[in-house]
Amino acid sequence: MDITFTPQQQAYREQVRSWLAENLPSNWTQGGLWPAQSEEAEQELLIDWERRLYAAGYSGIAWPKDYGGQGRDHVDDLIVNEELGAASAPESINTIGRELVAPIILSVGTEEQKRHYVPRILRMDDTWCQGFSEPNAGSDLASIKTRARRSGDKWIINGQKIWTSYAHFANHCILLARTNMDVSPYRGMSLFIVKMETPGIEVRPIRHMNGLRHFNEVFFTDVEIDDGMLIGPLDTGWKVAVEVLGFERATTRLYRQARFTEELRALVDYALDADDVGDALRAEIGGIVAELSIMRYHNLRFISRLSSGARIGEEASFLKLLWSNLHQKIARLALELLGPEFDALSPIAERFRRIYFTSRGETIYAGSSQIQRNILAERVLGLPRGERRVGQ
Amino acid sequence: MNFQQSLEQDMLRSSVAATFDRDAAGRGDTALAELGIFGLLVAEANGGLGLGLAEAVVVLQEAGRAGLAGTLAETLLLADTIATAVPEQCEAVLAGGARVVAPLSGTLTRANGRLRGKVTIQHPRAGDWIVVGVDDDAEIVLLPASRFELAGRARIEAEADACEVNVDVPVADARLVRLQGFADRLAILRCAELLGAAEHCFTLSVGYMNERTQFGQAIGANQALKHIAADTYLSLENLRVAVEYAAAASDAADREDEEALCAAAVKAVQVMLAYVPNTAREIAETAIHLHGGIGLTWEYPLNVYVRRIVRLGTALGTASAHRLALYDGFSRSSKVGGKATPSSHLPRNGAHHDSAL
Repeated sequence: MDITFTPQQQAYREQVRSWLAENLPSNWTQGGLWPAQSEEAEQELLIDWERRLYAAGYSGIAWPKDYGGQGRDHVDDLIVNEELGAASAPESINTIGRELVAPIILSVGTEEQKRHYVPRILRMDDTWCQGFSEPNAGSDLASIKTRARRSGDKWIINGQKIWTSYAHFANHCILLARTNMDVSPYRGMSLFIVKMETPGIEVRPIRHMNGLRHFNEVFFTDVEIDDGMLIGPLDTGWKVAVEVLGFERATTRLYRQARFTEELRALVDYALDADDVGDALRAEIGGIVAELSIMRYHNLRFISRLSSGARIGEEASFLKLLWSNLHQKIARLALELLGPEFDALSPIAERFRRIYFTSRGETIYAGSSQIQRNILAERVLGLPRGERRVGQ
Repeated sequence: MNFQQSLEQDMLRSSVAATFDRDAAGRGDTALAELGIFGLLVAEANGGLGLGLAEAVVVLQEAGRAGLAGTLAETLLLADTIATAVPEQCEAVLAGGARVVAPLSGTLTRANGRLRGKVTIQHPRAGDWIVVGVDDDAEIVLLPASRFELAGRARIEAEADACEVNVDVPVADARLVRLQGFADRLAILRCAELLGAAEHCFTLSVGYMNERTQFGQAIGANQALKHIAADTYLSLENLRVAVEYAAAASDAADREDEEALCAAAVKAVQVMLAYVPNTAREIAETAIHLHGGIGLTWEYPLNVYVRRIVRLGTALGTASAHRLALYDGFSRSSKVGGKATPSSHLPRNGAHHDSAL
């Protein structure tokens, strides 16, 4: 048991930190663009930022060099993430590519798929959206109706997806579709790569309550794709997605802990400037500091386990419960501390308006808190399944 | 950086756990002594194992799980001090024959050549030492328990009486020792015991949820209860890393007396104290609830653990005081930049204190 970093690791941390200090966009203020810009302008700036980050060698840290990654270890990945978070650097708008598509392709894709798609994600040549949820298949993803039918050496796709983040500018979609009606619903789904420019795809925006055009409905009508766009073995889409997601729960956005800590720091700075903070609030903030520290200890624990070759399983679901709940606490604290200044035209108010409204979704997406609790109770603690869920 | 248990620590855990399992009724000390546990924190020069808090945490966690910790925490912590200060006691120390009792509450003050104060301790056995912090724990004093009259207190734990000791002794007569960070180290080991005890409460609960049937199915099949269990699992994992990190940070600061490491160790103890005692108690309370009526009885084993958790937890200070201490540290590191640079996008100096370690 050793919690200290080597001199090499500390030097690497310093190197990342100074690069960030010199290279963050100049209008990136207190964790956001100020003055605020149009969504298109913001998008362009963020794509440019991710390209520069990669050019400097600070993305794809633990991915293999053969596929454009840096080939470094998990601890270095943690270090870069902690520095990104502590600098409140812009978050990726290609999270689907980075956190879902690349890991899945690296895990079950063909060599050709790995060499083609993974570097393009890092270079931001491709941005991705995720076609999983449907109007009647949210938490119960096995109920999806979108079908992919064989036709010669092509697949024909028909169906509708919803809550598809980034679909309005992504040029690729990772699609979960039903490919086999004769087996149990979980065993009859497959994953496909779909180019968004393919004829038959229609994207309709849904405005998020944070005011931004974040997610969409996507309609697929007789969309024709090549056989080579299937990812992994036929009919195993669900299994592949679950396995990769379990691992990813412990390793993606490791920067969150440092980022949340900086958010809390910005709030405390603001409160100290504006007014005195009473003991009740101080104690509440102290409690959040304790939980943020504990969140970091978990990161260190998971990274240590990964480094020694351990497999991360469904227990990582508790991380989602922990961070989503903690972030909502910070967002609510912002309401309390900003109070009547919540509508101020200032960078800090703008930042926390966005955080507050966005954080409401964090206990819903990527497996709601209740789904995470079911996973923990049944698959980690071994409690009985109980009431039968249809299709299982 | 490798924040996980080593193979040696895993082995230590299984031997200690096996020892506690075999012996729930008294031969424990001999078996522990055979494993060298009483010499765990004793320097190798004194015949001990010379290990650190990370290992002591393993022992206390298992003792907490078995409900057999008693005064093991302070006994392990003081073993090297006694072996050094009273060499003729060395053998007794390593055999577990020199037990130490630290107060559940109270410290002494030094004034006019005397040490005075009132402390509450678990009832000592003949030959035990009482160890008490002096003047905010800058020093500790070792006192033979036989010297004092003991006044009774209400019995919280079924098998352990507590008593009050009124200390008033001349400084010249007392064995004063400067022992850096004794209070923090004791807190870490007591929290380790809380972790083990809370784990056991949860194990009993999950077992019961699988066994007990109502409405024709195990009660654990109900989502309302499953979700309580899942939240408790998260709480336990939080407890585990909070205790283990505090121990590892303390060991790191011991190995290398560097300012950043020492500050990190202090903060880790604050984090632990702000979270662990309350949460361990909540886990025990949840366990009672999950058991229904049987959990409320004197006879069911939960009772022993709940009482121990309440007793130890109340001795560790209020959560709000520890949270306030964390706030103070956090806001101090926040304001280094001062009001003059409110909108810099760069983290201020000190803002990285958390992540540098």
